[in-house]
Amino acid sequence: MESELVLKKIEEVRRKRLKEMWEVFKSNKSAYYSLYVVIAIASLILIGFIYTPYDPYDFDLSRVRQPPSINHPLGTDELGRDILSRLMVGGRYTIGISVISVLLGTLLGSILGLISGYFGGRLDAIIQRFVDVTLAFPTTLLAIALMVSLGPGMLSLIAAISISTFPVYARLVRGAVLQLINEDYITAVKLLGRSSWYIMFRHVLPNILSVIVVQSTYYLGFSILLASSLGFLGLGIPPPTPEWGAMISGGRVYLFSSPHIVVFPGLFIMVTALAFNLIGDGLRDALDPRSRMFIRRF
Amino acid sequence: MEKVIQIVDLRVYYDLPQGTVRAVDGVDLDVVRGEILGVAGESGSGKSTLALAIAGLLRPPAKVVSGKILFNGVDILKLSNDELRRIRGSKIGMIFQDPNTYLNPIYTVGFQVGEVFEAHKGGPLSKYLDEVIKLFRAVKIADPERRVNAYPHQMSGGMKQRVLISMAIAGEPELVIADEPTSALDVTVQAEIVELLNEIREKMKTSIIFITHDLALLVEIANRVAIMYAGKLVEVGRTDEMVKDPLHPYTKALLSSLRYERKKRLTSIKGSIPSLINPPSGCRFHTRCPYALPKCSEFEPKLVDIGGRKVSCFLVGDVGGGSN
Amino acid sequence: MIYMSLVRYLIRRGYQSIPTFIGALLFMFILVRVLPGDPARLIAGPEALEEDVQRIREQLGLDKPLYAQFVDYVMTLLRGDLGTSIKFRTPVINEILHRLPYTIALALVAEAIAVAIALPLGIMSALRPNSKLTYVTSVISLIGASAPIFWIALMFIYVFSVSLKILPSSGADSPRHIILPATTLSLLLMGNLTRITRSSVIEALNSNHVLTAMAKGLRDRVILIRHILKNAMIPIVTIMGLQVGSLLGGAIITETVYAWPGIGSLLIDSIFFRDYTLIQGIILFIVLTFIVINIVVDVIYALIDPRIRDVLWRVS
Repeated sequence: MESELVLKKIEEVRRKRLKEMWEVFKSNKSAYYSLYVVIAIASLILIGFIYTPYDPYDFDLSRVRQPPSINHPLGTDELGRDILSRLMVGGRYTIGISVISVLLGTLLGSILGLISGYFGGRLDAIIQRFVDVTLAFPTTLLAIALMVSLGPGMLSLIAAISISTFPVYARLVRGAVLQLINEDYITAVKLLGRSSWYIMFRHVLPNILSVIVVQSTYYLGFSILLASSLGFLGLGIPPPTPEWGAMISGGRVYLFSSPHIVVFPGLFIMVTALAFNLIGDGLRDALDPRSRMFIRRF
Repeated sequence: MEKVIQIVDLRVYYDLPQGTVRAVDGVDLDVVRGEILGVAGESGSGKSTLALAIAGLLRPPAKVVSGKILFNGVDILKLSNDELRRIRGSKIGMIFQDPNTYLNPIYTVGFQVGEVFEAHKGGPLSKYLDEVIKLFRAVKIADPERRVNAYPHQMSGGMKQRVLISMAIAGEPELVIADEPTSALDVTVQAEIVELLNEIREKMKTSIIFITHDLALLVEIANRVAIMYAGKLVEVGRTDEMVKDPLHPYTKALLSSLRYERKKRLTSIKGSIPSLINPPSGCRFHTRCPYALPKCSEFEPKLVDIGGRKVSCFLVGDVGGGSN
Repeated sequence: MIYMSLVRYLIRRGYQSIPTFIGALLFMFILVRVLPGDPARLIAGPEALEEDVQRIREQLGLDKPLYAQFVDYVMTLLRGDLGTSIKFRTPVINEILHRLPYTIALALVAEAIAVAIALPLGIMSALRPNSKLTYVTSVISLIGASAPIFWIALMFIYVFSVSLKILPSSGADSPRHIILPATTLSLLLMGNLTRITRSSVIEALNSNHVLTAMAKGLRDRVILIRHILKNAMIPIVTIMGLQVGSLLGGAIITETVYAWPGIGSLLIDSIFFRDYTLIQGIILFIVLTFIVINIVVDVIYALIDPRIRDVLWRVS
């Protein structure tokens, strides 16, 4: 009977803490509004699955490079395609790929980090060696090299970005695990005879979850920039797919006469990345609050 | 007896988003020249704020709402920044509690102590090397010639605290404020530090304000003790007299938690420190006081002098009726 | 006295980096082998006869088993030979060295601009919060961190080259040509740098040793410079070191948009030309440089923070 009450109390406390965190997050206006922005853009993309004003691939040379108008709110591109429709569909690629890649990278990196930190020894050394090699490449360069060798296409892009992002998690998680592993309560659980996997997932993971979540949010922003950069360089998904970076590359030649072809996709990229960055900031403040009471003036 | 410090009705409040914290709420206290005055209280009693106020180290969001702090007759709350700066370090020294964070990790300890000379006597730091070595020897840091070039992280906690002490006495100050100088150290080292402070008082004739939550230490070293609770003084008096015959319920409770070896169980005081934003009405201690009278929740007792001892409690002869 | 441990540290780091570098080589080797297409035929050309292709294949050692190829590969690299460019028919290393100064110049100027703007901005907004300055700082740092560099580059070109016609947008013919590319690249760096500067100054401001410094009666300016700013510099320099990777990546894109003749644009060009030897050579060169730069950064880091020095250097 008593243990039931205790469990209920724990649930209550957990729920209260989550609510508090949400309140802190909400109080951060930029983070809060960014959430709306992300939802708005996501909705736009989702709508794109069932409806777009025009066919994004249907080019009509009689309508090339038209500035924004009532018919085409964002204008037409260098081949006469409606930019808004292309953005709606292209978002699947730019953002969708980023999300999947970050998820994969996080998963891979975190699991490796957990294993590495928890088991230590030879396994740790091998994994760390692997991480070191990956980190010896500047991120963008690694992504470029991977795209060159794997060839263009969606899968290659996902692989490239995941591989470029996983090492940070491996290191981060490993560090956090190493810190926690010496805590007394972990030793206590070990003494109770629980298996290593159980300890890892049930006790260690929840504590570093906040770090992972914040890092992933930042990485979402980063990988949108990375994916679109690769698209811009022609290393992403081959045309005519309206990946946002590729759209900018296509319109580049007409920068002087029809800047809108370049401006709009870029604006979308920037706003999305910005939103993720601000959400990341908000999450960081909400999940790991620091007492900012006494700030000295000088 | 000459008074080094006279604090008159000091009120220091912090302006926080959550509300106004009344950290020090009407304190009258004197420090006699050459004595060691202990200031005791739990965390949140306002004793550290008091220390910072005397040392002239208060910064926003803290502000002095009213009161005077007379140092040798001069109200230091009215001095300009520059005049304060000249007093700090040379006439009033301060020892902080955590030697790990109160020393700058990127400079040698010798450099940091030498800065006191540089600031008050002028000239390049290098010319004070010998003085620093002498100081280190005085605070019993072994092998001082080598240690002056050491970095804080290369020293033990006890040694770092001695460095902080040497920094405080470098200017041969009239007053040294020690804010929990032993709280971060182990018991054996604590005793040495306390002994050191006593020596300083004797040799240099410095007055010392010793702030701590550990009453046992004060019983050892202090001539007089002032007990603070929730921003107010509850009892002030000579240490030996107070230990023998505590008047205020809080003092009694603190002392009894010291003498637990006589009893069978540890006694602790029920409840916890009240909020300083919304202090309880009347006597601040009444919510935890085993002897509370009805009027204790309505009126605030004044600090009255009873034969040399100052107490603020209705049970011990206060007039009826100081309200807030 | 410091120098002995410095030398020992350098040797130890160099020694530790070897496996990493070999790992990178292995990685590159595998990457290249995955590439579709037959390198021998590429070099020979589509019209060449099968015997010629076979001859080239033998010449390149492509018929030997993989591990032998790898050994050959490492051997040639040790000789400093990065191979010969397919397109230009000149040694890769020459092409790289020819373009390298441009990239270095771009990187240095961009870093200089970033530091010159981010540091004062960050420091000021930390010392005087709630002012317009903080707002400007936040805006700059957000744009730097969220805007795609290639797009910013194009926007700059549109505003300054095309509309206002005051700055050149491609090539490196005059000193003025570096302004736009360097500023674009610096924006990328400024993003993080302003924020970190501000937060590390704030942290230094609130640290306890500043209270000690005040209690000693030091002058305000002395406290500010010695006990606040100098302490804040440590995380700032750390970030600057960590940013070298983004600097290199950003340079690749910036050079491409502005047609700045550095190794970044060379890399992209060589991808376009499918010059695999050149691609491989450039990537290897950049990786090696990156490893070396990281070691140098660690050394600088240890030089300024005595705690790191003891941890890293004395443990030999």
